[in-house]
Amino acid sequence: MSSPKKILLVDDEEDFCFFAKGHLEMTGKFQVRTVHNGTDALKEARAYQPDLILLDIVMPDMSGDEVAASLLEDPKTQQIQVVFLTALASQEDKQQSSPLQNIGGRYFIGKPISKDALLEAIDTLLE
Amino acid sequence: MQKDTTSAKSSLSPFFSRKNNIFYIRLTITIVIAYMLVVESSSMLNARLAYVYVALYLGTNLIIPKLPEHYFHQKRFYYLLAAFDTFMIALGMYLIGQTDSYFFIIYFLIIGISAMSRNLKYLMLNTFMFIIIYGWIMYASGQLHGEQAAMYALRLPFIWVFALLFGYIIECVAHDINKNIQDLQESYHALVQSIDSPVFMLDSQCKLLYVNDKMLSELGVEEGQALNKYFSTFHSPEESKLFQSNLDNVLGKNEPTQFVSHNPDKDRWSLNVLSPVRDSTTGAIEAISAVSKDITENVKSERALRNAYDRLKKTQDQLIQKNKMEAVGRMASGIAHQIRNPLEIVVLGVEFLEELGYNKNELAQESINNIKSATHRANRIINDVLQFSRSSDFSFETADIRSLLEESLEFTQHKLTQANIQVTTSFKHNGLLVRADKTTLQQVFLNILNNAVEAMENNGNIHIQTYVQPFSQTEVSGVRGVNLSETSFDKYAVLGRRQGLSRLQQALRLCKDSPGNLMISLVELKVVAPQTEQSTSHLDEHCMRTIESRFVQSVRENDFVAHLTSNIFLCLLQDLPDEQTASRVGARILKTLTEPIVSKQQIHLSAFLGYTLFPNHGQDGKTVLKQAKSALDSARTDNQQIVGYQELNAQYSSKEENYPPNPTTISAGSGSSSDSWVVVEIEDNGPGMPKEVASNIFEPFYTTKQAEKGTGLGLSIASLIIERHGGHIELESKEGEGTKFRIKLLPADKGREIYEQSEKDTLGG
Repeated sequence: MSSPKKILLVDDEEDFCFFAKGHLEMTGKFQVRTVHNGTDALKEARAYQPDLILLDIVMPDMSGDEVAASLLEDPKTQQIQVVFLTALASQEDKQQSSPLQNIGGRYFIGKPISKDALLEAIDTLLE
Repeated sequence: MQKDTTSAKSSLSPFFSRKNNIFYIRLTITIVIAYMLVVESSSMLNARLAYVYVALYLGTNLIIPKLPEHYFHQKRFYYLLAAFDTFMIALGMYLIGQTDSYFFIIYFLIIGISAMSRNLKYLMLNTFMFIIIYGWIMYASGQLHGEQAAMYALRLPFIWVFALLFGYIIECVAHDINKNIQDLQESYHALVQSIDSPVFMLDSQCKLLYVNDKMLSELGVEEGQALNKYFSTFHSPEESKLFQSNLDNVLGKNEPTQFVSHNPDKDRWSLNVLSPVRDSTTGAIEAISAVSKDITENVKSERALRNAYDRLKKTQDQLIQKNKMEAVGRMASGIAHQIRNPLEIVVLGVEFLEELGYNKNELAQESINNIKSATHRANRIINDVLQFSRSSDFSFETADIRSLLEESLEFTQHKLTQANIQVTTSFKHNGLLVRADKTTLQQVFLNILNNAVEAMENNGNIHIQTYVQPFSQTEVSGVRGVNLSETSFDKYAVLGRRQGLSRLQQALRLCKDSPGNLMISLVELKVVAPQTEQSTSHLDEHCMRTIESRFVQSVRENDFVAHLTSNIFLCLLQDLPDEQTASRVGARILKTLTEPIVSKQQIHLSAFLGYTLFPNHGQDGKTVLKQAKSALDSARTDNQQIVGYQELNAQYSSKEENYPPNPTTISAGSGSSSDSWVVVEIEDNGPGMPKEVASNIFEPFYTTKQAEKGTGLGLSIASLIIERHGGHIELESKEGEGTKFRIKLLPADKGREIYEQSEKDTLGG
């Protein structure tokens, strides 16, 4: 087994971060850091250099879209894989096989998502 | 009425009553005789006899007031009285014995009485008789012999001349009166003839006593052919019967009555007013007058108006319902999104507890399971709500309704067998194609089937049938969005301009909140306001400004309803008041057409409207037309069909060289065989539902099921889906007999995407 993959979890819901981090780290495959707003996310992304960023779309200071745009502008972070977390996804599409959706080259994970589905989606992305 | 005539008469009678006049004249005679008796008593032959004479004369005069008035209008009585008085005067002269006195002057008073007869012949006869008697008296008493004979003899021609003078006056008066009566008659005749409605008079047996020219021309006969004929000779038995019964009514109640009659041959409606014609003195009904006004136009317009109103009311109700659903949907989706985040925490949290090993305890495990199923349920509700509120991008394709239904049945097969429910189907036509988003439409069928199964619980029948039903007239225009065909508008072009305008203004006040309202009103204005008057000059500046701002807003917000509204307004501007306005409007249409945010359908419709409504106005009009053509071409390459596409295109090609085209010949839509619904009926014989349930069944969150079973959104979603398909869903239910859902869908070749909204990515931030 290779070294754990680094994941940055960005969500203003601290409780969500707590549980998601718990689930991910219990697999032993991931090392997770959490931040709760966009500004911290940009700082942490540069410092931590994660393999994957889970990014909430609706946040108080700046939206996930804006964060992603800033990440792309910075050469240090532009190669990092980003996946959006959203509560706005529709049910119909989610019923179709994977919780992970690719819309216009961007990846989305719809909330609510169960532990298994979350892990499956992340595995798919990191392969 | 009766009372009035009597009182009028009594107020006139003291001055004009013949009886009174005679009474007073004779009283005067008595007084004069009595005076002469006193003055000339010395020369009296027989004084006592003279007193008896005066008493007798006074006595006869006292009887006069007791006699009824009409006696004095009877010739015989009247002449007799005058003759009696003539004789009395002669007798008086004889009794007083003063044949040479001026007593004869009293005769002039008698001439007055005679003159009241207004009969010259009689007056002269009376006078002649008196002259004979008086001449004889003078002759007998010797006045005609002697030196003063000539003076006495002259009295006779003097009386004659005096009588002639009276005669001349009464003849002149009679002539004047006759002339007045004649004039009056002529003007009454002219009045009756000038009335542009049949006016006639009937007796109690419905026999025609009088008809005016209008009536004659209506009947198509000469006056001689109509008079004294029965009403029924010229009218249908039903009409005659109605007339007779109303006539009896007038006779019975002695007051006017009015009623509406219909002539089926001429399809003519009339408002008839029957009034009693009374004798001026007695007040008895002599005949019945009738005025029969043609109200065919009014009746027809009233009907058309009612139809139009019903139609508009229906449209309005639909729009209100639509707005309501949308508002509820928006709210629901907001709430749903808010709930998803905490729900996610619960989901992950419970799983985390499980992971940490807190499920060793059996009770703990059960709790965890319960929480998990509760979150699952909550999520399902949210999904329902979201689906309800979502304007999803349906992908319409041509679908065979039969196979769709059969697939849906397959999905529910398990449930159906479990509940022991029999399904019968009758598909009248094979290969009925509809325009549908297959998945969502199937969802509707599944929902209805599931409801049926749940309602019946065990043992029951479900019957499914499909058939084709032609659009009703109102649906034709409804389905076509806005039917701009002039001919159909003309049918409703019934109301006055002013009424239409006041409604428009009213609508404009409301339009800030609801563009739909404005649209209705505009259509209504177009519908009700005939083309005959100028259509814009009455629109005040305020209207124009509001429309303009609405238009700009519509383009900015991509609000298609508002956009459509503006365009419909343009259709009211067919006779634009001046070149300047014309080019302004043209520029605006052009702007819409080139606006990138407008979807293809909208371009297309704009093109259609622009082309149809705006053909006559200069350079801008021409550009609009060009733009319209290119929009049409692009629409064709995209294989998008739209209202009246082919017709319009054909029209365009044929008229291209012949610019400008005549807008009135372009009609939206066609009478093709596809003008009909594809109807699906799903009927169960379950317990049915009470009226209040049935009327609320499509309301969001309305449910009679237990909490775990449903969210109350299923049928609301179904209704929304069907509406997005351009169809209708209806419900018929009777308690104890079952429930029938009727779904009307557009056939595949009937493109209609007017109300579809191009939704952006639903996943966007």
